[in-house]
Amino acid sequence: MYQPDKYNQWLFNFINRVHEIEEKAFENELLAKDLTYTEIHVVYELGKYEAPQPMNVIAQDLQITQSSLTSLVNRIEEKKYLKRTRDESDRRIVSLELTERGNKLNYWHTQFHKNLTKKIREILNPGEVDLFFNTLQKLNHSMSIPLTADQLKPGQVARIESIRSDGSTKTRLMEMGVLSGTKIKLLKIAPLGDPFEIQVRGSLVSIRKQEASQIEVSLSEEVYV
Amino acid sequence: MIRIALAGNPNSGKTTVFNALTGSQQKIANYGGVTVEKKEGAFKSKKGKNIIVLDLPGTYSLDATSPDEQIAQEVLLGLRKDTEKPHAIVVVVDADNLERHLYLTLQLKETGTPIIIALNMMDIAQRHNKKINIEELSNKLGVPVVPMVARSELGIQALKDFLEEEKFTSIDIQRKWKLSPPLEELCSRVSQKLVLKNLVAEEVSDFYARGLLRTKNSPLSQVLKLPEDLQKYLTQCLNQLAWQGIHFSEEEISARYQWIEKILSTVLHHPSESQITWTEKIDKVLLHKVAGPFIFFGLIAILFQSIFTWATYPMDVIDTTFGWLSVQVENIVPSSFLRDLFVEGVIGGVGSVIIFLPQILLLFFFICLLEDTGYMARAAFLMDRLMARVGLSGKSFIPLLSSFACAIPGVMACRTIENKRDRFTTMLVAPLTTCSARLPVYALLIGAFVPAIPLAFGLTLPGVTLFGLYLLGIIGVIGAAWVFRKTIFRGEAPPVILELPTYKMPQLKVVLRNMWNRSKMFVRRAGTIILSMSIVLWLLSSFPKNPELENKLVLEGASPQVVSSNMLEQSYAGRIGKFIEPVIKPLGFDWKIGIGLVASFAAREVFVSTMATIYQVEGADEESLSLRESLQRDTNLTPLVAMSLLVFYVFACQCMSTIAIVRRETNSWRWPLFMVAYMTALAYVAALLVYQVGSILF
Ligand SMILES: Nc1nc2c(ncn2[C@@H]2O[C@H](COP(=O)(O)OP(=O)(O)OP(=O)(O)O)[C@@H](O)[C@H]2O)c(=O)[nH]1
Ligand SMILES: [Mg+2]
Repeated sequence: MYQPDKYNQWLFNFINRVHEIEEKAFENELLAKDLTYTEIHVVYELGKYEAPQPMNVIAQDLQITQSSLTSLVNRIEEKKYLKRTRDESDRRIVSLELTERGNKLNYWHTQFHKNLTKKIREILNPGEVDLFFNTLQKLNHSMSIPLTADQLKPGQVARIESIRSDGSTKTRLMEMGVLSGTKIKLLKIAPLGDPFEIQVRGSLVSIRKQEASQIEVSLSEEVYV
Repeated sequence: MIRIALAGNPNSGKTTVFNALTGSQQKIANYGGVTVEKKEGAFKSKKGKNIIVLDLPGTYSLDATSPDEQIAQEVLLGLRKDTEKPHAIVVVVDADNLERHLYLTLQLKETGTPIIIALNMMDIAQRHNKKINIEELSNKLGVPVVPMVARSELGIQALKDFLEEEKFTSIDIQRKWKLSPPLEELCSRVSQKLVLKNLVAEEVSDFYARGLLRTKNSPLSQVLKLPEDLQKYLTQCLNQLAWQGIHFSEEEISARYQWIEKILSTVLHHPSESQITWTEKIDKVLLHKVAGPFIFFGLIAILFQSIFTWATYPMDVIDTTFGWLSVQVENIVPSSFLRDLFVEGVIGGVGSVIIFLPQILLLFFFICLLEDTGYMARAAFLMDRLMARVGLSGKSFIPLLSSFACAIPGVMACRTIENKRDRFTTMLVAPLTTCSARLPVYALLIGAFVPAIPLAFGLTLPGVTLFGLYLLGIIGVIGAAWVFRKTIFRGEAPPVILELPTYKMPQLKVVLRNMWNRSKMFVRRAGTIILSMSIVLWLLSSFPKNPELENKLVLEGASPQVVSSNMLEQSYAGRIGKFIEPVIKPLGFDWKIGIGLVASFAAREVFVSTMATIYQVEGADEESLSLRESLQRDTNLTPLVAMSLLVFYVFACQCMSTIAIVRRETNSWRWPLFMVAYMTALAYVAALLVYQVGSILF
C-alpha cells in the first residue's frame, strides 16, 4: 500500500543516518574536527586525482561556481589541508594540491565510504543489494538538478524540457515560439553578464538571466538550431 | 471602397509595404516597435477603386500585452469605436522566419476576417537558401499568398491586383489544428451556447469560444455582452480548468506550433547550417565582451566629434548667406520700422537657428544608420544590465535612444513597454535625454565659450564638452528613473523579452528620406514657431520707444551703445527679463538671458533666435556682429555663466509639444505638470550648484 508519509520518513531517516555515521567516523579522528561537511567534500574530490588540479576542474566536479569554491579553498587552506600551486608553464593558472594532512583525511574518508557499502552488504542479501543499488542509480540519474538556459555557454545548443516562469511571461515566450521541445542556441551573453541572446526558430531574442533560469533544458549535440 | 489592414509581427516590413502601396513616407527602421500608431493611407486601383490601407503596430499575438499591441488587436478585431473593422487583413510575413510569423497568421485567420499573406523578405530567405513552396503553403493554409520583396517594391503590384479583385471574400476559416479531446469538447460546448444565444455567427463561434476560455477578462466578453447565465457558466469552466491545472492558452499555442511545424515540413526546405550565420558573425564582434562596449562608445564619440568638425563648412556657408542677405536688404530698402523688423527679427532670429541644420542632419544621419542596420536593438542589449540597475529595461532603452532625435517620438515609443510603471517612468525621464532641439543652444554656447583645444585621439575640447553634456543628460535620465522606481513607481523590474533583428544593409533611400523629412520639419519649425517668436520678441524688445530718455542720454553724451542698451532695458522684453532676474541671479543669469529663458519655454531653439534678436536690437547702430561674437563681448556672460546655462538646458523641460504629448499618452494633466515641475527644479538646482561652486573655485 502507498503510504506517502511513512515513505518520506524512511527516506529522510536513511539520509540522516548516513550523515550521522559519516560525522561519527570523523569525530573519532582528531582530523577534520575543524572542517565543515562541504569542506571535507572539497578535499575528498581533490583526492580522487593523483596530480594537482586547476580550480575550475574541481568547481565543475562539485557543480559549484569558481567564486564559491575560492572562498571554500581559502578556509581549507588556512587549516592546512591543501595548498595552492601555480603552473610552471602558465603562471596564471592556479592549481590545488593536497597536503600531508589532507591526504591523511582522505584516507579516513575512503575508509568510511568502504565501510558504509560493506555495512549495507552485510544487512541485505545479494539479490537485495543489486536491487538497492540499481534503484539508487536510477533515482540519481533522473533526480539530478536540471540544467537551465542561463547555465549554457555561448555556442551551445539545447532542447527545452520545460518552462517554469509565471503566466504572462511564459505565454509571451511561447507565442514567440519558445516551447517545450524547441531547440535553442545561446549566442551571446551581454558584457555585464546579463541579458542572454538566444536563437530560436530563426529569430534572435534577448532574455534576462532571470527568465533564462526558468527555462529547463537538456544539452544537444547539434551545432545548429 | 475597401478597407484593408496590415498586420504582422514586429519588424516584418508592414510599414515598408504600406509606403509602397500608398506612396506614404512613414518611418521604417530595422527594429520592432517602430510603428506605434495606426496610420491610414489609400491608393487607387487600376479600375479606379479607392482602397484604404491601415498600417498597424506589430504584434506577436492577438492577446496584447502592451498599448501598441492593443491598438493592433482592437483594430483587427473591430473593437475600436473610431475605426471600422477592416474588410480584409494583409498579414505581412517574414519569409526568413516562417514558423514564428505563421503563428499570428493562423490566429488572424481564425478571426473570420479574410486574410492574404504578403510573404515578405523573399530576398533574405533566398540568400539563406530556403526554398518555399508557395503553392503548397497557400493550399495548406487555405489562404492566398503573394511573395514579395517590399523593400524593392517587388510583388507590390501583384498585391494591388489581388486586392482589387477582392478574391478574398470566400475563405475557409475552420481551424485545422486540434486541442486535446476534453478541451475540444469544452470549446464546442461554449461555441454552441454562443450560437444558440445568437451572439456570434456559426463560423466564428469557435474563435470567440476560445477567446473567452483563454482569460478571465477577455476584451471579447465585453464586446459580446454576455448574458449572466452564460457568464456564470464560463466562470465555472475557467475555475475548473484552473483547478485541473490546465492552461488553455498554453495548450492552444503548443497545438498551433505543432500544426505549423507539420505543414512546414512539406512547404519549407532549407539547409540547416545556413541560418543567421551572417548576423551571428557580426554579433560576435559587436556584442563581444570587451570590443562590444568599446565599439559602442567609440561610435558615439565619432558622432559628437563629427557634429563639430564636419558640420563647420556648410554652417559657414549658411552663415555667410544670411549675413549677405541682411546687408542686401539694408542696402536696398530705406531705413524703416519694417526693415528693422525684417533684418533684426526675421533674418537675425530665424537665420541664427537655421544655421544649425547641418549639425542636426548629421545627428539624424547617424541615428538613421544605427536604426536601419539593426544596431539599435544591440545597443539596448548591451545596456540592459545598466538599465536593470535603475529598474528599467532594454525595452525602455529604445524610446530613450529615439529621444536623442526628439522626445516626442521617444515618448510615443513608450507604448511598446508592457509594464505600466516601467512605461510611465520612461515617459517621464525621456525628455531629459538630449534632443536635437538642444543642439543649437549647446553648439552656440560651446562655439562661443569653449576654445578649440585639440585633445588625444583627434578629439577636440568642444567635441568632448558636447559629449559631456549628452552624458550629463544620460546621468539625469538614470538618476531620475532610479528615484522614480524607488518612490512613485515602486515595484519589481519586470521581465524583458526583446527581439534582436537580423542585420540589414541600410537603404540609402530610407536614410535620405528620413533626413529629408527631418530637415523639412526643422525648417518648418524655424518658419513657424521660431519666426513668430522672433517677430514677437523683436516687437517686445523694440517697444515701447522712449524718445525722451533717448534724447536725454544722447544729450548727456552717452555712447550709442549705452543708449541702445538702455532702450532695450526699458522695453517690454527688458521689463520681463528684469522681473525674473532676481530668481535667476543666483544661477549667474542676467535679465537678457532671462528673456531667452522665458521665450524658450515654447521651444528650446527659441533661446538662440531670441539672443540673436536681442543683441541685434541692442547693437543696432554698430557694424553687425555674428551672434557668437556678440555673446563673447557681453561682459556679463563669462564662461562660468555659459556653463551654468548649458547645465540648465540639459535638464530644463522647455518644450510645449513634449508636454502636450505626455498629456495625451498618460491621459491626464497630472503627469505632464509633474514632469515640468521636477525637471525645472532639477535644472535650477544643477545650474545653481555649477555657478555657486564655480564662483568659489575660480
Ligand atoms: N531585405 C529586405 N528587407 C526588408 C524588406 N521589407 C522590409 N525590409 C526591412 O525590414 C525592416 C523593417 O521594416 P518596417 O517596414 O519598419 O517593419 P514594420 O513591420 O513596419 O515594423 P514595426 O512597425 O516596428 O512593427 C527595415 O529595415 C526594412 O528596410 C524586404 O523585402 N527585404
Ligand atoms: Mg511599422
